[in-house]
Amino acid sequence: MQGVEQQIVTLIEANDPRALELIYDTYADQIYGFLLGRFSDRREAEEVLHRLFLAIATNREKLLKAKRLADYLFIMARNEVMDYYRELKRHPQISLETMEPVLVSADDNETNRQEETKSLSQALKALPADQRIVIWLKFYMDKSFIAMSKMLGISQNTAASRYRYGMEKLKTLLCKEQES
Amino acid sequence: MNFDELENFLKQFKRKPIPASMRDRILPAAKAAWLAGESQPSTYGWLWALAACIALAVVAVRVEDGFTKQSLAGISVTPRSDTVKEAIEDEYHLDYHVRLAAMSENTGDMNSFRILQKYRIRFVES
Repeated sequence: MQGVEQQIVTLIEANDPRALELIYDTYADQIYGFLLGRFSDRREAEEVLHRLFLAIATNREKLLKAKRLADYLFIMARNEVMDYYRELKRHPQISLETMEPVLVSADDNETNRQEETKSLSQALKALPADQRIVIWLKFYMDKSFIAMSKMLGISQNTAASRYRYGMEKLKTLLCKEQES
Repeated sequence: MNFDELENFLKQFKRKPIPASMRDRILPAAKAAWLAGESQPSTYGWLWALAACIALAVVAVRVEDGFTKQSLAGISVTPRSDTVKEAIEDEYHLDYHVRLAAMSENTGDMNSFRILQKYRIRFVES
């Protein structure tokens, strides 16, 4: 990744917009995964990813000062999420009923789990955002609590306790769903 | 459902990958923003120059208006300048020195207060 980061830096220094392509091809899927966990909604994740790349394009010189490009991009993504949430206060939020599942079966041959993916996606969406993202990062992005603490700007203990509380709440939500 | 069961259940799923079409939607707009950003330094340059001119003009007026002292019948007036003098005469149709003398004697006059405030004139015993 260091080599790619250096290439991106070189392209930015040369004011070459191909830097955007390289950033996209290297980091977009990871950032999209992060945003998917943050919102538990595809459309919102796509919208914020779009905004993030516009921010990268207009503030590209700031990337040159970053110690680690990947970390800096996640911080930028977090800031875009916050801006988006601020705007959400003025606009209605997407309802649970209309949201699309953000998960698929881990077993590619198993295609008949739409109901489960839908109810799990909805239960995740119903969690407080801070708890949801920790659970998401652990299960669907394979991140340790140390990595989470860097990505989210919180301590490892905070990440671990959010995980515990989130799992308790998720269990309750899924049990309610099963009962109904 | 206990904790382990929940963990196992969660592991049976994976997140959706980024849609392939996103690349074609995001990159053209981002590149356009990048290219638009290239013209920003000159635009900002003009803005900075304009801001600097305004700041200089403000400083020049403040310097001109300020802080010389002139004695008037035992009263020192500060700040004063020809600009202030002309402004007071134009606005209040009064001779500047007459007006100042009136103000120094009658500080309860609201009109005088307004002039004092507007031109930040301060009377100091000389």
